[in-house]
Amino acid sequence: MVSNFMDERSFEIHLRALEEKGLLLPAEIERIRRRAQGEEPRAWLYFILLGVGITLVGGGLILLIASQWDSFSFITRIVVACIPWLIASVISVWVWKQKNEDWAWSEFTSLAWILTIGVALILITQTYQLQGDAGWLLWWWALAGWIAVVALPSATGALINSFISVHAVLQLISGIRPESGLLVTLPLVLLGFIFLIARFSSLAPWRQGVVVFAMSIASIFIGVSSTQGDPQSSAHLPYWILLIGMTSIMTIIVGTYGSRFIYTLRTLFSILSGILLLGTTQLFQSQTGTWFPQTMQWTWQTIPNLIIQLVIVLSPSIVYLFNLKTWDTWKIMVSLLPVLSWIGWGVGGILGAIVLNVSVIGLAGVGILHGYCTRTLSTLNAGVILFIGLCLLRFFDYEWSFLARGIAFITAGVCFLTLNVYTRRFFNGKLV
Amino acid sequence: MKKIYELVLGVVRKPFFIFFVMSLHAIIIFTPVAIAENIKRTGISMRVPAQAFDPIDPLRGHYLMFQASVRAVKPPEICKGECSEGYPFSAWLVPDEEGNAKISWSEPQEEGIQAFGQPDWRMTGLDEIPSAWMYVIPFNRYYVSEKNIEDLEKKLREAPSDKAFVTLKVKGKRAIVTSFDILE
Repeated sequence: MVSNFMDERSFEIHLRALEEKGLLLPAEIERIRRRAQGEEPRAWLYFILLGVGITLVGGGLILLIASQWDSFSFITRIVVACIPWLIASVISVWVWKQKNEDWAWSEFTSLAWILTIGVALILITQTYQLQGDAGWLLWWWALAGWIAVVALPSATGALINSFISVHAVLQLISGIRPESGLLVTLPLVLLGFIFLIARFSSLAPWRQGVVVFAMSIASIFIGVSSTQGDPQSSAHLPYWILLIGMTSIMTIIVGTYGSRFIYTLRTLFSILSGILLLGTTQLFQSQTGTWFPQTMQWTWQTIPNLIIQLVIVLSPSIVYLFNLKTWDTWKIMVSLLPVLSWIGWGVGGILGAIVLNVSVIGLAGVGILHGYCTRTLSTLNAGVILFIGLCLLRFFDYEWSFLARGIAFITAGVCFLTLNVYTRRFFNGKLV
Repeated sequence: MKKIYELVLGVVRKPFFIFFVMSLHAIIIFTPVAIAENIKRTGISMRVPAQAFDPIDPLRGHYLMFQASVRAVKPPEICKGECSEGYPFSAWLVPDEEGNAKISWSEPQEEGIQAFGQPDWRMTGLDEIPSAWMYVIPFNRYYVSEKNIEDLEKKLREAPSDKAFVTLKVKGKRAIVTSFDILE
């Protein structure tokens, strides 16, 4: 691990430039270099615990508001729908005036602005029971989003807006419903996810191209097989291919450049992809009835779907086992957690839900701890992504009431925040 | 190109610009509210028969998913170009005197919403020419509180096809859903 924002070469160039200008002493240079080589990982751990804690508490509060939604009057609903947007707008004005040159503030504020506009539009649509296919909503959302991106430049915001705009265009030209449009983003999911594999970025560009091409072909198979049963699905194939081509080019550009800006975008891209991956696998389940081999209806179309699912499920185990220096029972058991989660999903019921959730939490925890101990940012990110993905799925889990989910989220969030405080105290004085 | 970029950058950095952006956002957010309020207050009621619909949508939330349509058994006399098996791909649903939806094959001068045709396979085999078409409205969900959703979904699945209705308020060519009723 060199830095969160730049690769090793750029880091050294900047460091030498500072040294030549005489702005830093040799001792300071050495100290910076030592820290960059992974001697300050604790700040990352605090950041993760704090970020996850705040996200869970925030999600819990949203769920608690949702539990009271039916008791709100029309006016109250509209006001509540607009509050996040108003808060984001006020922060945006402050950032625009005070922190315009700070890319991190600009990036995340712009993103928050775009998302809160979407939240307001969606809740207003729900309150008035407006048109269900919501094609116009996507157009308005994309327009508002691009205006926000012009005011506060944000690469992530632009990426999210691209998704929204592409969905709006697909909706217009082929009548694809927004939720089906989520399936169309699958190539992006798979392509983005491969950046989590640490060795991918060190591959020669032509090898990267081969991997991306193979993933694109696999995505087409998934697209075709997961829309089986829909007589109009074959009409969507050209749009799939078009979108896959666009996303492949975008992914290659994003993945092969090495500036600070692109590095950050790549990390965010991977996180987004991980979240979408879990969402999409859930979508597969409803598309194909079930994805468990024993009960799946076998047709030629389901075979590529199943193969990709197996690859997704088994790849963490294979990568983990491949990287093992020493073999012991505990580590092999950990490597089987993805398979266990898959079985839990297939079995269903309360027992299956417990097996699935516990194994995914275990896998995420192992990823975070392993990444932290070995100073491997990609493994640590993978663990965090898995955990966030699970939280997202449980957030939209309609088997449980809003109230129960809200309390569970806030409790889990408070646990993470407490852990953050205790970790800080534990390492107090030991931080470089 | 550089001049255009600098010109845009110059406008973006002016103090009024951020408030201009906020105003545009407010217009985008509150336009649907104004449109919906107008339809709700001045629109005409129209009832469309609804059936249960198996949603392929895990993110559907607490929405009752339905498919509301009017069935056309006889081929229409007017069929302008784009037709399949004698039926046009789209039609218009307009309210009759009693507030029930009826098909209009031409665009109405007053209230009406566009519906999209799909073959009704219930009466025919999949490899035969369909004997009827369904003209489906582009509304497929109705928000219900989490306490009632399960009960209402069950009732809709068990209800005969002529006992469930979605009521719309129509103003011009726009509409909002106002209620969903299942008759006992």
